[in-house]
Amino acid sequence: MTAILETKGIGIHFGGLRAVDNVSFTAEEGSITAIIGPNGAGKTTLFNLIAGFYTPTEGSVYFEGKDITKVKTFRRTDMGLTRTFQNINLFRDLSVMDNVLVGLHCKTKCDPISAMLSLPNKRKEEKKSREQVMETLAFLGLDHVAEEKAGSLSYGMQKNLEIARAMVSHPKVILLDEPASGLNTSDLDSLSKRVVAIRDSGITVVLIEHKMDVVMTISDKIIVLNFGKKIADGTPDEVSQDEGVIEAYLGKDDD
Amino acid sequence: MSTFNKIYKYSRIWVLLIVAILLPKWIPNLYYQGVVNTALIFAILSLSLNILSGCTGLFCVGFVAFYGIGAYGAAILATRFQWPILLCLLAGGVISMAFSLLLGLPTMRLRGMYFAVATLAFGEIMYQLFVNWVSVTGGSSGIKRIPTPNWFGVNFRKPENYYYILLVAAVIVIILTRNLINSRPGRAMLSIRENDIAAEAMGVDVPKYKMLAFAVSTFFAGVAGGLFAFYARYIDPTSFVNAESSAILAMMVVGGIGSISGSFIGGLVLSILPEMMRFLGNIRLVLYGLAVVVIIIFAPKGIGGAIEWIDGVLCGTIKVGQQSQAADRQAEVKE
Amino acid sequence: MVNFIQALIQGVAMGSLYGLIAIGYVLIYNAWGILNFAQGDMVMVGAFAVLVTHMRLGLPMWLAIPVALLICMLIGFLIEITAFRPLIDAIQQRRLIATIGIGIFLRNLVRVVFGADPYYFPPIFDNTPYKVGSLTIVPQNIWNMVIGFLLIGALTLFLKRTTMGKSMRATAQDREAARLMGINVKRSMSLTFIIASALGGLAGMLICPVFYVVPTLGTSMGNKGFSSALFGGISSDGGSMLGGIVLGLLEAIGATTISSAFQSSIAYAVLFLVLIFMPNGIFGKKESRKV
Repeated sequence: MTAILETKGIGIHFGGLRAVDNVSFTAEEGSITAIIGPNGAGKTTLFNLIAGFYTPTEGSVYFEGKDITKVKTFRRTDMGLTRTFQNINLFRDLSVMDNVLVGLHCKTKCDPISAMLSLPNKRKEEKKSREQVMETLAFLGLDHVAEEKAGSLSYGMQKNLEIARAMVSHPKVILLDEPASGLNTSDLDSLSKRVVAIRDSGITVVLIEHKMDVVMTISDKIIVLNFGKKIADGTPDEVSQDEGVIEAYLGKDDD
Repeated sequence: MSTFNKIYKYSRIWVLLIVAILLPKWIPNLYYQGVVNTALIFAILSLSLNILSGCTGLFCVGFVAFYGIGAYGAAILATRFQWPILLCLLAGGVISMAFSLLLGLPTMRLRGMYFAVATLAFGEIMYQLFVNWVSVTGGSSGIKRIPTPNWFGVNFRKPENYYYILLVAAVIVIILTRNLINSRPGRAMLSIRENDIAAEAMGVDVPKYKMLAFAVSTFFAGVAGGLFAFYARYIDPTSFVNAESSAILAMMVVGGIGSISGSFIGGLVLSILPEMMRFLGNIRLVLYGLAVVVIIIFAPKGIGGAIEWIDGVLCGTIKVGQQSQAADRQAEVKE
Repeated sequence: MVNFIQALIQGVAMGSLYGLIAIGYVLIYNAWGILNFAQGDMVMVGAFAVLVTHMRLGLPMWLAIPVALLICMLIGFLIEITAFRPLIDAIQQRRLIATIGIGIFLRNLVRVVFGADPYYFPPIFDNTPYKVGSLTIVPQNIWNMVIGFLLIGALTLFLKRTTMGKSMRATAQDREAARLMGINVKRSMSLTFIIASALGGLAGMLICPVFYVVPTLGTSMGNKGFSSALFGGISSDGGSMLGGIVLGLLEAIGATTISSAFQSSIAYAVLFLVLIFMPNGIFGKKESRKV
């Protein structure tokens, strides 16, 4: 297996705080990599570095062997690196359909002129896009609410919509930021199945998660962060026996 | 969906269009025809502004400048260079759009409030330019003897005839805007308004699409300016005082930000209403200010929100009580 | 050279008034997160208030100004509870339009009551120009400067030293945190609004003798005010005064060296450049983005 996503000694500090400090890890193509760690360990910050929302103060990010450290966020999406957000960043006043259609932005071409004149190429592309969106919505069990406003959905549905929006373009890598937070047990089960299905469809998954049972069952590899530093890295079995990890989590089993 | 819903859904556009076509027959005198014509121009302006503000959430407080640039551009090309009128209208739009690039490229990366202030400064500067650049704009005496179109042997000097030019223009702008909003670039703009961080994460080049929205909206504003110039046949800087910009903003917001029908109707209502209240004298402007505040506070989605709701009910897509369902889910999210 | 120095004095005098107006914008922006387009009209309200108390009611100046100030504060408070408080959680655009609506309302209400004709207002201070060498100095200008600076000093002391002022600053920085600290956020925000209105009104009173008093006075003064605020950096209290003076100087110098026709354009052109090259103003802090 080859590494599709890799960080080398990446770090960022805000003022004096080292939010992420010298973290190196790789995500193998076609695998599920989980990033875990206590609250404030710098997991989401690491995601923001990978997705390009922050510029690292040190180190670099590689995607398919190319250095993308200086590449803008939206270009990274173009290249096939998409993400979801922990604190749900949907387009609340747009319909579910439109939300996911925006997810196809990087895979479609329609320019403003042909859009305004509604030229045949626009209509053809639009029709194809809508079909593709419906497929993705069906996969996540959202096809029956396609015309409703995203903001009116339940919390669990909004979480799924985030995933739908990020995966509709069939990216090479998808970053899922706490997809399981706030879900009940039955939803958790279907989430695990979906994440595995996403991987099996050929999309590399990197996820941040607190729910250890989810992480342990689906991950191929686990990275553990604490205070911005990587403290362990390995298969679920290796990590669960790592002393540093047990220590970091001691007295912190709030999840 | 009942039969009534279906009939309504397929006939609503045609009924509206027929009413719009027959309207001049019912207008009692030239004065009111003039009011209606001006209202149409402002409705187009309000709709254009909506492409910028409604779609991307950017706030332009100097929009009248683009209207003015279009008017002067078209008028100068028609009077000095004798270009055909249709070409002048388009050229007015293009010139206006060129200015938006000039203003937008350096300011587009500014955060909302600062962009608004930059546009305000631009509006004021352009006004000064209209007044003081006498060799081009004619200064405060303006540009006179602007030709009127004479197409298909119809005399468009008559306001009741010019009305149809405006109507056609309005319909074209509405269709183009609607097509744009329901497309990839349009959705990219809407996503910026909704959540620019998520938009970026979905691969939307945020500054580019903001600029695009700005360019499209100023193009239409420029065309509206040209339409005004050929209608009035005389333009001077008083029509482009930057204070008018806030009037256009008010039309858009009262009509409903992000709503095509709303911003258009907002433009019509807020330009006709003060004229209807002319008998009240200066008090009408007091009431106007008050009405703006009251609508903002009590009708967050503006007139457009109300229209879309009624429309939804008549089409059968909204059932009474659906609102509360959404509210229930909302409560769940909050927990 | 003499003309130039004359212009400098004129510029600083006008600029300190701009600074006073600017402070109002800054205070409200920091507390409410929004540019109050009606702030300029508070300047006009201040001018008309003193016109009523002094010219119509015949109060002596030392009484007329405080009474007029009270009127401004009351009007400011009314605006706050009717157009600001109900919209505190609304989207930016609606809030901005509401302030524009209030501006239209105030301007036209005054026009209905007082008419559109300009009013003359007698000088508050002795108006005989002094000759210093070949310079002409008008006491009113000097007084405007002195009062401007004194007020800014007093305001700074109030914000930094008093409990009330401190809670106002805390509220401006982080409303939620301030609430948790037990600060009466609502009262702090109201107070900020009232103080901003009073400062705007006071600037209007000082302007009275310089300009004719007309209902549209607020529009031009408002634009000058928030331009100054942005020059200084809208997040910085102290920057406004300097921003105002910079603007005043630019205008005065521009008018004497280039052309008086373009006087107001100069201000906007500079504002434009500042926005492009220094989006946080001359003294403002950089605002970071949150993901």
